[in-house]
Amino acid sequence: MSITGLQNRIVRRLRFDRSEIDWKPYLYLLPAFVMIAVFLAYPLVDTFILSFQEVVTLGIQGEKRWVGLANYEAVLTDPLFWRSAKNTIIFSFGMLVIPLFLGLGLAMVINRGIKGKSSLRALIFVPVVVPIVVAGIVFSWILSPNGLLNWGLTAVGLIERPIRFLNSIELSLPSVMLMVVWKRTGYYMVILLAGLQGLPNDVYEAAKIMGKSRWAMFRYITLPLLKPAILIVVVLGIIDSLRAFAHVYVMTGGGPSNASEILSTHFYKVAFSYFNFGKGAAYGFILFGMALVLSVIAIKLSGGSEI
Amino acid sequence: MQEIERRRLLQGIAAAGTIGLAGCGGGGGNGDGSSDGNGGTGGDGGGTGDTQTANGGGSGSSPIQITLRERDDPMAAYAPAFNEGHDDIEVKASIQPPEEKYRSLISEINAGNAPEVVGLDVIYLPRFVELGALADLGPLYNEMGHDDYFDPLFPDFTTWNDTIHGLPFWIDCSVYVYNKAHFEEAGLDPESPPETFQEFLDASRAIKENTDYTPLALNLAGSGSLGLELFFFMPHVWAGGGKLFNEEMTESLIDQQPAIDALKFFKTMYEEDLSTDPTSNDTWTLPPFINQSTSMAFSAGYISHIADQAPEVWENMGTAMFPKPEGGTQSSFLGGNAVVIPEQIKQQSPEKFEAAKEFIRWSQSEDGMRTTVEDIGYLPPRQSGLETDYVEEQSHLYDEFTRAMEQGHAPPMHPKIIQMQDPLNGALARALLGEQTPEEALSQAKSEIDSILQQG
Repeated sequence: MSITGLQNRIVRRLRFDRSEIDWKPYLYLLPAFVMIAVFLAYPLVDTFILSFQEVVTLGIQGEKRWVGLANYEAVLTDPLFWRSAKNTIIFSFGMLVIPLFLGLGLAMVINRGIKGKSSLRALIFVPVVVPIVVAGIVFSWILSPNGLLNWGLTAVGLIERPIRFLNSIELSLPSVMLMVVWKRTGYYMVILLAGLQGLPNDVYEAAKIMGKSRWAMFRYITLPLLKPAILIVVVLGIIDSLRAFAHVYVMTGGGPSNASEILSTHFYKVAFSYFNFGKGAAYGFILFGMALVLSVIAIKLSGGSEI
Repeated sequence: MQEIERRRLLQGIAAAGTIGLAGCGGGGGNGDGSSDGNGGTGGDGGGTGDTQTANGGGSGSSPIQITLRERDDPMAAYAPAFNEGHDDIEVKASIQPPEEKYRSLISEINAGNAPEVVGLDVIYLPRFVELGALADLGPLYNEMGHDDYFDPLFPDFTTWNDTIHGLPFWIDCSVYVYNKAHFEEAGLDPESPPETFQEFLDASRAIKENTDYTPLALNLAGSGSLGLELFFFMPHVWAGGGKLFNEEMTESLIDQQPAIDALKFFKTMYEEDLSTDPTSNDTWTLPPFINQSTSMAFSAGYISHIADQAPEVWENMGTAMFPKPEGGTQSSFLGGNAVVIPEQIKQQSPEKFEAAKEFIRWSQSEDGMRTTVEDIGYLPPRQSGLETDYVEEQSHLYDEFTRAMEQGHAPPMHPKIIQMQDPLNGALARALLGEQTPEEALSQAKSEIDSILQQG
């Protein structure tokens, strides 16, 4: 460092008067910082450390043993983890892909200005506000062997015996996805509709003057301009697919024979039913890592648009 | 201006303080139901401190307060029954549903805030012992000197690693109930319920052919019914001499012939439409029996509520032990709760530890067992608990329970038994749904359980 630079630094320090600092903003933010530190940062760090440990005894002075990466290895070598991961990918079609397409279609229909669009918008949004447990129970009733769907299919002569939608190895996961599509479509529609309503009309007018088809306008104007909204939907969908729990837990419990087990329900069993605390913590961080990586990939693939 | 800022600052500090206190307060409370209607248990932590102060202050008149953690509302009846005969100790019941109960128990133990007495589902006993959470109750057991416990309860129900950590509290055994009027309608002898797999199949076929009722309400492998594979399936395996795993706990035996025979029996029942869907997520088998849509139901021992809900069914009801293969011995699953004291109570408060032990002494007494049978509706751990006028009056129901208590099996005990239920549940579901043969399904379950056993 040159003499001049050093001199300048000394002069700046001498001029620095602590009494001039306005502490008020820090004071106002202190409760929020304390809350975040106590309820978010501390548990996060503690759980991260736990993911490298095995709980030997419970209690305030409980003993924990350092096991390195053994918990992560135990999760990643568990066949049920991979089966649950595969199911989660399938489940994400119900959580993200299908409702995204349906939501986009409905948003475009409503955005075009059809009769009764306010009522239609409200109607499509209603499932979003229905609590997930309530929706799960209602769909369980509808899909049960004595439920409305089986009654209807039998009444019109399509089937002779009731179909076991929820306790069938093939149909249990698609049955849960049906409920999820019903609940998510309205949610995505509102986000995408907001995006559509923000698009500039002059671009479309210019395209019309140039004689572009509706498909071309959708492909080359709507989709690119709607990318930030779609990206929000995709990231939310990825995170929610990995977090989704009650959907499966209420309707099938992950069965039969783990046919509808997804990562979050398996994680729950490992951590809170088997009391395998270290492995459960490792599982949680693996899920966190997956959500992070998938979200980053989604953002990168979309060209790094701002959300 | 300065005045306003100071006021705002004080308001901020007050708000932050309130939030902070609310956060701390939440940890002390149990957040659960309480039997005494006092608006919650008041928090174990708070309770502990209050009681210590009251007694430590030498007032002498305040009873020692202890909390009993249990899982169902009827168990709250233990508190007033105990308190009636004890002026120096006051038990408060804290009821939490099973899943919540164990999660919060672990949190409370980790926070040094555990309830003094816990009714611990016996299949959790080895895991909690392994985690060093339970006090040694061997000296208490020896001191009491009762010698008429039902045989199958010792040592499995109480002991892990050669140490007694729990005493049998209330017992729930698995049996089947049947409607005698339906049996008569089907041309069956209501006083001779079927005892073997073949007799059971024949009786079910007769009910199906001669009446409009579904023969059996059954659930074995619903994914929401984890536990029923032990409660309802394993007695049929034990009846043929089978086991879930060997004595050394190194290898599963669930792929052997007794288990295959039992699974084939249930598969036939299901394929011939002789039972409700055994893979359903609906755990409860008694409602279709109570509303008389089925003639039989696999059931727990808790049936006294049928008397109020459906008196006509209660009047016509019989109980019987599960069927057995030819040449086997009928069996039953003896589940229920062991009564335990968390180790930290012993360390933190000798006074409360003694009070908790007094509650356990009472729970094993004639008075405690009478409460279990008459007020709560479960079975007592000692034979003398079934030698009462009340049981004599209901002998047509309790005779079979007594037999089940004598011939039944305590659960297979292992710290990872909860984890082992999952492969067994899956195997039953796959076989019953026709995905695999019973042999294939049980072979897969064996290898999955072996892998759990090998994890130690």
